[in-house]
Amino acid sequence: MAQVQPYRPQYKQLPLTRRFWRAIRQYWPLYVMLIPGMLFFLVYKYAPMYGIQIAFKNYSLKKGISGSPWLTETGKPLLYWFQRFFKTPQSRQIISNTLVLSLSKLLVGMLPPLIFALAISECSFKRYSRVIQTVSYLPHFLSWVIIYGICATMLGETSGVINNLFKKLGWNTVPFLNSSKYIRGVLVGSSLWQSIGWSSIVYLAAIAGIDTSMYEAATIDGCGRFRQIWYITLPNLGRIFVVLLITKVGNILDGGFNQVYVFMNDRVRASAEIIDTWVYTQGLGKAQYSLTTAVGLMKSVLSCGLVLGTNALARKWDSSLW
Amino acid sequence: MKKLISLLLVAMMALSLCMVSASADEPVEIEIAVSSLGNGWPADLKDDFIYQKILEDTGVSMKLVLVDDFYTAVNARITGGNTPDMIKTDVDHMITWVRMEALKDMTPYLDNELANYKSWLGSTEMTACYVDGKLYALPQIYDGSKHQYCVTIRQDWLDALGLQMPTTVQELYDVAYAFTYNDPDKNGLNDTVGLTATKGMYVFDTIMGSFDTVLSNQIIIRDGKVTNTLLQPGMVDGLKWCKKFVDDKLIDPDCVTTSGADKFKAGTVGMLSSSWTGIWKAYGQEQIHNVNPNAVTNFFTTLKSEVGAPDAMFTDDLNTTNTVYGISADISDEKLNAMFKLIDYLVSDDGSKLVFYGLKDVHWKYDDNGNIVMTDRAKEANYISTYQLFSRKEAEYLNVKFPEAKKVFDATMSANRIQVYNSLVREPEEMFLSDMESYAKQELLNFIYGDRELTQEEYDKFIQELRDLYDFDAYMEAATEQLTAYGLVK
Repeated sequence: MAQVQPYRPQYKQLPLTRRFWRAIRQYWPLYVMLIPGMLFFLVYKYAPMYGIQIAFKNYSLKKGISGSPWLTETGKPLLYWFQRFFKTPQSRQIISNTLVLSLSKLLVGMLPPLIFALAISECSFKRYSRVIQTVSYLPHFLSWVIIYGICATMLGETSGVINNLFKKLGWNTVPFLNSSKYIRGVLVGSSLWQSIGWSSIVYLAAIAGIDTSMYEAATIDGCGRFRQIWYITLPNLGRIFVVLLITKVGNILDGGFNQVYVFMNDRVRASAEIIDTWVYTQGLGKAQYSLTTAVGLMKSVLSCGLVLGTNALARKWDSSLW
Repeated sequence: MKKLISLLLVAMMALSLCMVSASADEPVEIEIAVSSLGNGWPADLKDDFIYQKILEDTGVSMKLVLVDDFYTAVNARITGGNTPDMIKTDVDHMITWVRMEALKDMTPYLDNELANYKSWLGSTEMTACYVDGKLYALPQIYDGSKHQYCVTIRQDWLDALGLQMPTTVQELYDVAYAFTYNDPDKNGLNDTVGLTATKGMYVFDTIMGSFDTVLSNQIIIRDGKVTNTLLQPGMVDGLKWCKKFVDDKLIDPDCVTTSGADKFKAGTVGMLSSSWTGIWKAYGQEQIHNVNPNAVTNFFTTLKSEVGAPDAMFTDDLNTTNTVYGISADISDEKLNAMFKLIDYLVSDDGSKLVFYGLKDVHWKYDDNGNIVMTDRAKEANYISTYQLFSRKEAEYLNVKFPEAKKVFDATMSANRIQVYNSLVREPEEMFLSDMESYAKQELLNFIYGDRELTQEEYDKFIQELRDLYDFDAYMEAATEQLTAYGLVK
């Protein structure tokens, strides 16, 4: 006969508050460790959202955020700043620039790190692959100003290495950095160059985590190197690939402010100005805080929607983030 | 242990008390935010003899503070309630800050505390510093002789190729062509270019001057009517010339984005549109001769007009300097009084000579005729120009300081310019002037670089875009109205 268990309500039957306190008692060290992280988000991410309201206000510096009148009080529609943004002809250009730039960065930037990670992990001369790996991280730590300097030395029209080569060959020089035709290519290319090593780390870690007995079994079954990659490595990387995709989609309206700001000049503005650089120059440079807050808010809402959308899509393949 | 801690605490409190009492004796500090400092700015205030002398004479600690990414950073400081005591700015930003209620109304002080400053300004037009009838910024002195732009040219290249100084656009083209393709430096390499500039569009304004216009949005008056440089009839012809220069690769391809001064000094470009200051001062000449000992530079200030207007190149904004100083609305009375004292000093005879030339009998002295001459140590005072808050009487100053460049600045001062009135015009509040200007610039460059077809029809379309999309008409109406109010047109 089984011993009679003392009555203990099932965890799920407990009222929420008791469940909460019990969890805290039980796992208090974890919760303590959570505090700094939560504080960070509260102070730097949530508290500033208080200021979002100026997107719907006629913000005046002297009156402050809460003291400024709502747009409706000044006789304007509540979405006045949003309308104003879409009324300027610049808006179409910068939205399409942002989308084109970040989509091409996304498309061009997804596969190369994966291939690079595969190549590194398949390289049997470990010391060589380690050197290559370290060298490939290096650009990640360079600021965009320095990368621009490197690009100017390589691609500049009068004194750049590549154009000098063109001149020697008797070809025409190409204004890589000064033409709206080429600037997007330069932006995408330099961002790939900067990030390829760093983004491959995640894949390398995932590859290291794959159970080696699978490879052994495959070898016994007569799989070569490429078959092993195709049937074992890649399927195991699928999930991490989707996770990275979701996080990248969330940044699709960013387009890389630092980079674009550094590479910008009057001749490439038409194809390089993105939402963030416009918000920066108009908002901080010309003190149009309400207008640029509205644009920033719109951007954040859209980004949030995109992340939720991709996640829902990914859930269908059972590799969602949450 | 506890004793030790409490002792330590007491010691710290005592120390901080000491520091507070020490700071009570310190001079009033005036922080002046500027976007650039003179060359060779001393890293330590101890080595800054101008700072020390001003402190000694006025008891005010005048701190010029370099702010990187100037307008963004200053806006952030104003928003954060930490406005610098004084801000060096241009009129556009001043107006923005007035609308943000960040600047102090100086009207009541102009005839009292600032009376000396006012008389020092002389005939300087202050209209642009007023918003709604109140004076919100203190301008620099306007001295009609401030024009610094000219085209510097390699005379030795001209001589080597047997060419004359260009006087028309066609001749400019011929010279630029020869400089690019006929190996003017005789080194056997095709490594030279005809024309460059220090600042973006100036290279094209060199050409556009002959068509009585420039490549930017400028309000002008023609035949008694307010109009705009973008609407000038010579615009398309001028652009065609610009395009011809670019198509034939006579213009330094990087000049829209980076300054060409270094290339000129290095001897790879034959002509440079720029302020004379970088090239013609002894230092600039020395740099040029270090690279090419035989280099001879010459200059011209205008080309012949192609449209029957007076010969002119580059612009001049009516009787104003665009550099003004705003004073924080939050400034304390103590600081404000110190500021008046400081301003008084800077426009006094002693103070102005100090910031113009340096210390008397160290960096400059009077010669037997009572003229100021610089001494051998004058070089130490190269950095001090940032202290010349309200600028200077230009002709007198330059003659003392840069006698070597006299023929150039005499010529640039008297050269004819296209008179513009932008500083007097405020755009309608609903309008994005800066968006319009950057769009105009972008399209003008597209015309020149062949990204947009250059015909009168297409140019008219471009103007129509400005009208339809950027409220250009409302802007011009506002300009007409305001300039009429100033009595400049009837």
